[in-house]
Amino acid sequence: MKLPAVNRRNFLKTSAAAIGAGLASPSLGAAPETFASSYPAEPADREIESCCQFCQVRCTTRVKVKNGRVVDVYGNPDNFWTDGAMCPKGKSMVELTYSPHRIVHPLVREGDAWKKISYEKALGIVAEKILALKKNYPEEYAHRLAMFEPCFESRESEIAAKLALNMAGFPDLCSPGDVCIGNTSTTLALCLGSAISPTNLKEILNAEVLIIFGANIAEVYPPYMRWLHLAREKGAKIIYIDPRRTKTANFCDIHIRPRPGTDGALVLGLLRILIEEARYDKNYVDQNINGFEALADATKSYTPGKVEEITWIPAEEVVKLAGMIGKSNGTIAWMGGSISRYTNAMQTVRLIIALQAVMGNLIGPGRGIMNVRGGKPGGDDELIDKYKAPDLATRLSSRKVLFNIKRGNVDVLLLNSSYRRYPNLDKLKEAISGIDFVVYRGSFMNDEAELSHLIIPATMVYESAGSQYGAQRQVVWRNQVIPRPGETVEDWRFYADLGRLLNKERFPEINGPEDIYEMVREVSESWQGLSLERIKKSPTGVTWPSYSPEELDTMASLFRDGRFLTPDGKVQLSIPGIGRIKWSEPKGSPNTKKGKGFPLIFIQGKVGHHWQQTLTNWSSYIAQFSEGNVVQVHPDTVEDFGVKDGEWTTLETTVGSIRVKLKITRAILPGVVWTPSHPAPTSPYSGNCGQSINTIIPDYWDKVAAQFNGIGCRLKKA
Amino acid sequence: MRKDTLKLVAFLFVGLFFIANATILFAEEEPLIGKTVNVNTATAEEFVENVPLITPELAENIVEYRDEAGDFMMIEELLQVDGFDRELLRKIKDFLLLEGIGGTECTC
Repeated sequence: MKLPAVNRRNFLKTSAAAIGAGLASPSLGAAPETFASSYPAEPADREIESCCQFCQVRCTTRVKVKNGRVVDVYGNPDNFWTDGAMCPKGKSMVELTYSPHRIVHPLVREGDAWKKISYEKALGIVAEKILALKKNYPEEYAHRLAMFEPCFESRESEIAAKLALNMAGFPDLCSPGDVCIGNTSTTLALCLGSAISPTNLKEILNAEVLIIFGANIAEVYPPYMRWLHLAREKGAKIIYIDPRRTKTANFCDIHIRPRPGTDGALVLGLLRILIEEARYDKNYVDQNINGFEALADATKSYTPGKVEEITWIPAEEVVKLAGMIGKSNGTIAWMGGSISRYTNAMQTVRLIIALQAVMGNLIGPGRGIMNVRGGKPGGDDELIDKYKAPDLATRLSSRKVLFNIKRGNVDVLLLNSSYRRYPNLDKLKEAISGIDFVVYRGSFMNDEAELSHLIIPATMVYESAGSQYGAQRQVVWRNQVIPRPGETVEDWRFYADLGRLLNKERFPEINGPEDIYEMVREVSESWQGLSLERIKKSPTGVTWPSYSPEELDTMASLFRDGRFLTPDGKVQLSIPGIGRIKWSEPKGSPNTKKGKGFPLIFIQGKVGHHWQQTLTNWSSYIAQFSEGNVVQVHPDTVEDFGVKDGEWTTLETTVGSIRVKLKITRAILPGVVWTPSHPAPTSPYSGNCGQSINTIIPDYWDKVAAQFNGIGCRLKKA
Repeated sequence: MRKDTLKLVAFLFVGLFFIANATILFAEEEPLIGKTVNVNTATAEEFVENVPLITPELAENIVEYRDEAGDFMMIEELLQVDGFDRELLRKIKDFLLLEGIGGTECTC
């Protein structure tokens, strides 16, 4: 098989053609493809307000119930952000709630079999195992317990878990962000003072230019496609940066297709032009940015030619793009989750922030910066600080916790979410298999259940109440629709029960999610305007922060008074913990020593129908849209390979291989392969079933979060 | 905006023992000459060039450990690195700056 070398020359033509095609796309101006709202004909005797628990669009919904059973769900037509749309992920919950595969009673492992036990007994075993750590390691127990945090079904559940464990002296709750957008949210926090997305989506309607860095909105946030449509109708030029021609690409004005992992080099090139030609806002920079000189120095060698060499984007297109940004009277940058999943992610995000900052584009009408998955509102820590153990050890990073597990230094693992989200997971699976006691909180007999000693089944979304937050910093309330089946319990209830056993009389009285919600409001100023009554009434949710009940919800930028939330109110570009400003190859890329012999570039991503590697894999409704392990490759990539579209091949990296079905398509750049992230080996449905993709991902991390893209790989005949 | 209520959730951990930039430190036994490096960002070469008593092999071990376990969160964590011991750490501690990023608590 002849594989293309990874260099500029091979791909120059393709990149140039892509930009041209994007500009002349026949779909320009067409209505966006989105998952339409529906008003189901399914008869019902009542409807209950709810919300979807999956992504941070946080669609509010109406759930139809007949004879005590959920029969359908549709998007709330009064939701400002979604206009009543919702996607198949949320719709799948109706089927999943009544899945015949669901576990509804606690199970304890006895040899190779599972034995049904009561919830009380199961809870007692967990408490006993945790308390034994304190007895067996009186001085060093803190890091002997770890939790893989789930994407909790409510904010109150997350708080209850932290209360229970932090009060008992255990700090190591591994955040899902550490395998998601943790690099982005942390860089936002360091540079601008807030980890949360500071700009609301509606601001794009005032922008002249919107630059989307690797956010495939049509697949990850389908209900937001209408906002792109509205922005274009108002005249915004939408620039989409993604190596793949996705559904989102079809809709944008300009599609730029860089080599994966090189967005930072592109931005350095843009900054060089804007700084050298003095097209930036010097007064604004002098007054609002720390570290500009170091930034300017870092850009000096990034000529358009060098940028072309690194990114495969033609030099003249880089110059054109800089010209557009230089002329624009309002540019918004929207950062996708994909840029966070490289070892150079924090550098890239800092550069995107810098680009917006030097052009004065961080605050003001039609200006700002947005992050797919907006992040988590503050306030919780103020409550936890009040209750936590006075000598609580510092929380270790997820990477350090995984390292501890591999070294045999963790004895109890609360496995609340998929361990399959971590890289090099065969090694991790082996390490988890050596842990003394693993508790799984979930709903199906999946890979996590297989590794556990005890299963305490969780409720599903219609069986619990609580608040959740979204990408627009909105907080919404979800009502309980139907009773909990069997002995399933909500997370808030499980952790409150566990907290009482671990902390005896010190644990606060909690009888429902409302109690936890009010506990936060008692200690946090930023929640004073978010009364339960107010959020329960709103079909959209109410924007955090809100300091008083009288405060109107303006959905304004987080930086309301024109200053950033850093200690001196300025943008911080100099951050010693990240190191000097630069771009570097993603670790393990074909151009690095570690990637030698693996000439293709691997990328993976979400598809519109699936939520990570978990629940949706158990839906037959979703399975109809899925194809298991497939890989997109350009025809040039397999030109001399002697294979046809649809054939099975083997995809290899330095740590493993996976059997994949070829999808030969010009939607992907030559030399790059793409595969969906979701398949799970335990799914009962063929479309969803497949080898976990992270079995072939090496264990490389940026400072906070893991890398899942950009490594070298190769194809072999199966 | 009352930013006091918007706590910065990414935390930095800093352990600066002594800024020994281009200075001579007189330890009990002998004077040591070197420069301070950040243990979480320095390359193997920078360790060897700037910190006395660090051999190329030990520098590689430090970087390898950091690659596998992530940033050092305490200076004493260097004792987990092959070839490091308490005596060495005591001697060169003043040339080591611990500055790292703890990360945000980010959930969906």
